[in-house]
Amino acid sequence: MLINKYSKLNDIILERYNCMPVILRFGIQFGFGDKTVAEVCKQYDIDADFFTEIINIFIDKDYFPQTHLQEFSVKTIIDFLIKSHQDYRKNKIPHIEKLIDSLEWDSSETKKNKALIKNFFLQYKTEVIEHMDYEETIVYPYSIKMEKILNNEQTLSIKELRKYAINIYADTHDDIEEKLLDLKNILIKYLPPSSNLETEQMVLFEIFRLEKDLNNHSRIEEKVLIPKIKLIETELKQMI
Amino acid sequence: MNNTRFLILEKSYIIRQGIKTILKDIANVKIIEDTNYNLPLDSIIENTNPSIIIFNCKLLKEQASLYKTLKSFEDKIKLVVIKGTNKKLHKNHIFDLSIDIDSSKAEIFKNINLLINEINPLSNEEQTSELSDREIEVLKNVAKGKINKEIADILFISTHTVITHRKNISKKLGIKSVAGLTIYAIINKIIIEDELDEIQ
Ligand SMILES: [Fe+2]
Ligand SMILES: [Fe+2]
Repeated sequence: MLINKYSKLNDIILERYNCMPVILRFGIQFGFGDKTVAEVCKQYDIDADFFTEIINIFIDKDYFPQTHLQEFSVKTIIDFLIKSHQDYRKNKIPHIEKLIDSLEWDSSETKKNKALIKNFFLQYKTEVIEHMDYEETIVYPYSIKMEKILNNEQTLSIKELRKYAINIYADTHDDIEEKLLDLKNILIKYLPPSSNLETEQMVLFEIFRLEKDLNNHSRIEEKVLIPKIKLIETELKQMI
Repeated sequence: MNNTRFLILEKSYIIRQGIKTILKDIANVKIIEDTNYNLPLDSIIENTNPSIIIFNCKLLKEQASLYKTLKSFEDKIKLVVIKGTNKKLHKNHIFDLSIDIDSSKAEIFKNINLLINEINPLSNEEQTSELSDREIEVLKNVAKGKINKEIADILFISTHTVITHRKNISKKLGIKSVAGLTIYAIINKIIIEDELDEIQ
């Protein structure tokens, strides 16, 4: 079931608790009583239509209103992307790391398994951080600038336009969630069971969640941000 | 039992969901949807590697070249066409199965299962997850950090063959990254950790 602006936020969470992390990511805190999406969004100064669409794409994997999403401002889209990055950096990734730290194997033979998994995850973490750093220092600022120029908030310089193009990003943007599939398969199929299955299960749950989250995140970058910036670039080029 | 991969070519969301609902009730079916219509069909097929393609007969009329493209995969992929009750297919077009839009659930089940049984004895052998001796050799070198060209030289095979082996290894194991493959190699003693230390 998809949500709309008039759905009560409490009902949304009770029915689809999976979208809770995304709600919190917007900065919304618990204790919102019976308020609807529109009311809560107003209180936190969030664009309720944008919020609704984002929650919906997280709820339903078949739902992706590409055209509608592209109508929101670059700033609105990027604000959310950056908030997601912060959540991955500060919460989601360190949480998995901690869980992996508390995994244990019995025999001395299998003790090294923890080191294997830990190394793999640390290497993965480095890659994800590099990926996000690149987006935050190059891609997002460039995108924001393009929108500002379009809105006449900043002057258009041809030099600026030639320095970078969103296509450079489009061509190299890779699936950061792909390696998580490797990790899942290693834990489920190949490693002997750890002596604390409950923790191992939690590691897997968190990996599944992060994978889905990253997948939605990349979809917004690829199907909303990139095409939108491409359009702005074309428009700006015509203005020269 | 291995999964039979179905590729659904259907633009209409309503019909696509309908086909999916039916297929989901059949055991061991993996549904691939591809709504990325910007790509040419042959690359969609190569990327998704289906064993059965289900498509709407309307597509044949919209795209004249479609039949030829589909038929070029004839020896690998079964073709299932969905057509309206009174619609006649082109007399030169031959498919493995034609499903009438008004067919009952039981009828569709029976026919699709027959089709799956035709394919599976073959794919069962092909899709064993056991690595061959050659693949183990390749994996060992991948884990040691060797690049394709080096592996080719060591094993006296072409780089192209190395790439094919690597693709098959990843498919069998469900692990794509070098880091992941290395872990697999260590767990299964294909490579000993001392060997790794030597290299690093
Ligand atoms: Fe990102
Ligand atoms: Fe990204």
